[in-house]
Amino acid sequence: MMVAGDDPHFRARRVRVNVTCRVVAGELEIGSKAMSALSETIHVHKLPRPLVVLAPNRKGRAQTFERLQHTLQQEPGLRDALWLQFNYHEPLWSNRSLEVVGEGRGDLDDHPRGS
Amino acid sequence: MGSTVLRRAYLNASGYGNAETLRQGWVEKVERIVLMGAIARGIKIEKMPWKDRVWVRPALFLAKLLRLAAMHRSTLAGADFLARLRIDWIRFNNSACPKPTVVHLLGTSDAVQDPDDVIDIDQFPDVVPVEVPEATHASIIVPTPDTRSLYIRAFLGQSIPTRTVTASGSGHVFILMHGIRDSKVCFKELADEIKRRRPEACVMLPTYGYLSIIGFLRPFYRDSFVAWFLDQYADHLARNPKAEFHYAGHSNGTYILGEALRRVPRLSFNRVCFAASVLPTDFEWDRVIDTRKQVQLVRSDMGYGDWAVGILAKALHRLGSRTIGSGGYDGFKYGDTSHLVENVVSGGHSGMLYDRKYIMSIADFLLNGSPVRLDSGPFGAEPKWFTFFRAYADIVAFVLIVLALLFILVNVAGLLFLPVFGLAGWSLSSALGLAIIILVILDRL
Repeated sequence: MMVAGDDPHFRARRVRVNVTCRVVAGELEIGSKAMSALSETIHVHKLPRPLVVLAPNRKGRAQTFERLQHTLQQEPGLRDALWLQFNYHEPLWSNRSLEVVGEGRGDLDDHPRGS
Repeated sequence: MGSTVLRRAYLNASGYGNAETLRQGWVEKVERIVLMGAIARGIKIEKMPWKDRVWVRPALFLAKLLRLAAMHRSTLAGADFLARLRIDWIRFNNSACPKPTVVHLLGTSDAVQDPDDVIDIDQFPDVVPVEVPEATHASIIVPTPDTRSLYIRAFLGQSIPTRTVTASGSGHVFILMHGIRDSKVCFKELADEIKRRRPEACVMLPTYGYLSIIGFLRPFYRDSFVAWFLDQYADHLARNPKAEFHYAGHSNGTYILGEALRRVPRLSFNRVCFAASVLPTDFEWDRVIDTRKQVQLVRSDMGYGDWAVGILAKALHRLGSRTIGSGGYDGFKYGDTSHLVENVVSGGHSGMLYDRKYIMSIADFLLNGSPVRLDSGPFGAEPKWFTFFRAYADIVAFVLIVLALLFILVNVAGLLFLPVFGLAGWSLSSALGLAIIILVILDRL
């Protein structure tokens, strides 16, 4: 049985997952680090709650999906969802590190834990 | 952009990435993917208003030169990232593995992607294409009171398709690509012959227009045709997702395919016929054929008197152009003749393409896989001048470039020849210099 609260990474009420993309040969590729971070997140998703991952446009920031999320959160099927939004940090002068940060909005500890 | 990042992540985790090690178990848990204003074919600069085009083109050139803004450049039509994504997405959706439902919301006022650009996403049975009235590329993520229900249904998996998309589904696609200083007319007879023998096949004669030697020597310009080809290929694959692809390329057409194969691991062809290939002798066929299985069979025909490959391409390779070489004259180092067969044929760089017998043999090969070997020769000894230039062409080319630059510079300035040869002498040499400059400017060399 996996309990999300047992994972120190997700103990915080505000979930923050760092997902790193690397740029290979001038082209965007998502590296294995991004995958393992997402895997951890999905692992938490063993909780009986839907996880919605939101990926905005490059210029998108935290408020990008605010209205959409607000609209969707009124629906019974999505009210309890854990929302994880990606944001990109790409310094214009550097191709070498493109960081994608996922910031979750949800309250893991207050919800029933699944197995 | 977010839709491309997510789709790439999903494909990588499904085992459709560049490396098998990226495979992850979480893909099985994904029930739905909702795409909003997804970029599929990519951003086309030619679709932009002219006021944007005038600064975007130079800015992109600079960015490429300085290796900046990779993320921006990755969203352009034909960019390696997008081409890989589109091809992988189509291959994944054609596979038997379980797939999530994809709901694709596309604004009716989206100026970046129109329905024709997203056919590679919308055509599969697990996809629900939904139009969002009045939404633009930017506003598609903001629900309005009128469109609210579309979003709720999409995220809850209750969407109803509002568009129908069908792929043509031809079984065979033949792409015939011409070379430099040429046009698609050189393959017209071949295209007609293939169409006559297999009417249901899709025969493509794409063209990038007239490419001069000067244009061919410019790496960025030459490279732009690879991006253009990748965009074309992905589009044909999207429209014919289950088709077998075959390719015939001449000269620069062989460079385009070689580069595309090198960059996009899931770009694949059944039979490939090269005439006067300008790929280097050490082209990575072992990776393309043995490791990635991108090509089943290659026939490379080499013109006996082909100075363009035997001298010019060889010189370019020696001068540092690693992606250009004399594989179409000296032969490739790859030794497996069950997958790559080389023939020496009479004629020069493009003479072979105007020989009907030869054209028929390409048609036979592309349609049936034979003949792979051609009856050729015997050929006499190589002329001495040819042997000399093959050995020293790089040095000669270097000296000639320096002399030509000096000649043009001096004539334009008019500083040297005026006192030495007088006005008449200077006028004559100036006229010659000016003619070269005009030819270079008009790009007709």
